[in-house]
Amino acid sequence: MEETQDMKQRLEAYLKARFPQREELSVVEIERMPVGVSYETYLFTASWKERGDMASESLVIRMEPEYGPVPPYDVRPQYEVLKSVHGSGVPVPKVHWLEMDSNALGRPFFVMDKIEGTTLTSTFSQALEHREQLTKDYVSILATLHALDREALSLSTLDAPANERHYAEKEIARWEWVVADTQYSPQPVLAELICWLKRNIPPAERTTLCHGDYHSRNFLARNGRIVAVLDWEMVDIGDPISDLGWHSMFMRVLRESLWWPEADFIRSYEEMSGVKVNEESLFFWKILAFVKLTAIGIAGTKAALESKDPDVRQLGIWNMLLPLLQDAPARMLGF
Amino acid sequence: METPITTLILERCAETIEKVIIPNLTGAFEFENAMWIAIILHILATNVEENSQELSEENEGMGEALGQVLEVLREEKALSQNAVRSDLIETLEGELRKVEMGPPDVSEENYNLKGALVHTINGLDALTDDLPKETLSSLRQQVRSALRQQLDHSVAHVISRMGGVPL
Repeated sequence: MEETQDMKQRLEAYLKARFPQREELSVVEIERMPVGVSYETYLFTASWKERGDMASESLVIRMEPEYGPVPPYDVRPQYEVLKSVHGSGVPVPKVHWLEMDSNALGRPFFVMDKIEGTTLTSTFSQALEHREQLTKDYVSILATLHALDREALSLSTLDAPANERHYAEKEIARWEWVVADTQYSPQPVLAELICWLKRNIPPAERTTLCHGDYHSRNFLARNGRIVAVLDWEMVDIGDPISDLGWHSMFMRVLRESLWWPEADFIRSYEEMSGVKVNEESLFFWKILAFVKLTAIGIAGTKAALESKDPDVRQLGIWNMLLPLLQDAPARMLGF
Repeated sequence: METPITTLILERCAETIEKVIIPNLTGAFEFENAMWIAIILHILATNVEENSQELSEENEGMGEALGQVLEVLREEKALSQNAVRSDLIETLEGELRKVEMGPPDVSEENYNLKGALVHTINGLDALTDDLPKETLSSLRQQVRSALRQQLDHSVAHVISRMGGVPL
């Protein structure tokens, strides 16, 4: 809690400097949210005097971690995408400002609205009567995201792929690098999976904005409807089937495929997007999804061991998941 | 064999966290951290108990696979000028010689053999267009058998403690 106190003091000083017109400004509450394993998320409430009356505001800080499982870190793309996508039919929190000066709070961050709601994962399991509508929303939002005119969004921080295999090549190279950079011991299973991926890259039939981390824990729901898509840190421009592969992999990890079969999800996506999903591409992106999450797990383990942050959730999560994440794609490839 | 003392200590730590600390925590962040510490300790405790025997088995499996690859590569005289083949033969001869000499630590041997296996997987991939298809397929099968053995061991640790099933 010492760290949160320190954060509170730094934030208060930062806000006073940023909003000098706000008299008697103070951070009355700050809490680190137990969500995600990469970006640090803080919910804070600030109050101040305005024209003689007290005003207050609750906002969310998304800050790059000191050490994290998804290197290299750059907060700018997700901030830019959230800003551009807001109001497009994809529900996202409104972002307020981006702070790249690490002197402010220690690392770059952005500030966004707090959205009231519960995670989709818990809503799925607890509010069974809402499942049908929520799954419809979930697929509909993905179809909408993939249909956005990326040229019109004018995203300066993301590069469009140079050719139909470029995005997959870039992804393989990225996660291969992450493994090489963060592994504590050689990873022969991953080496075999990566060799297979490199030899089986499918050409992308479309190039769209891809969320990069599309799964039920990255959504907020309220009154039976999805109200926000969160965690855009792996957003990119690429093959939209990558999002489907990541979703399918995560459904297996979260055991949600037990009640929402992959085939139903794909059929709904095809109906809502009007695009037939290539099965070979989907298979490739599912294997890549397992490799990607394994790489994140290996990096997460290193980050947790090297960080001064006392959060041990990553060690637990990855210790449990890493064997399973490699076992599943190996079985899919017949070994 | 008696349960190792380290296993007992780790299990006790986990129990203390589960029975003493977790019930008294009110914050979600603190609760999740405590829960994960307990899970880590349970998994590590199992590893302590089973590690040595399993690593020996894995080393044997990798040794066999790498030996097969080495034997076949040596016989591929048509590739005598191939740099990847030469490099791979050199690496495998070095690693397998170390195994024959018997390094003092089974963990160290496991680490080294896994490194050689990665090198072999990448080497075979680079030789895909040079080796006969059947030969390559047979070698890949050998390598994949060794990988499966390792996966079965690591998955069993998680499944036995977490009561889960493979993904």
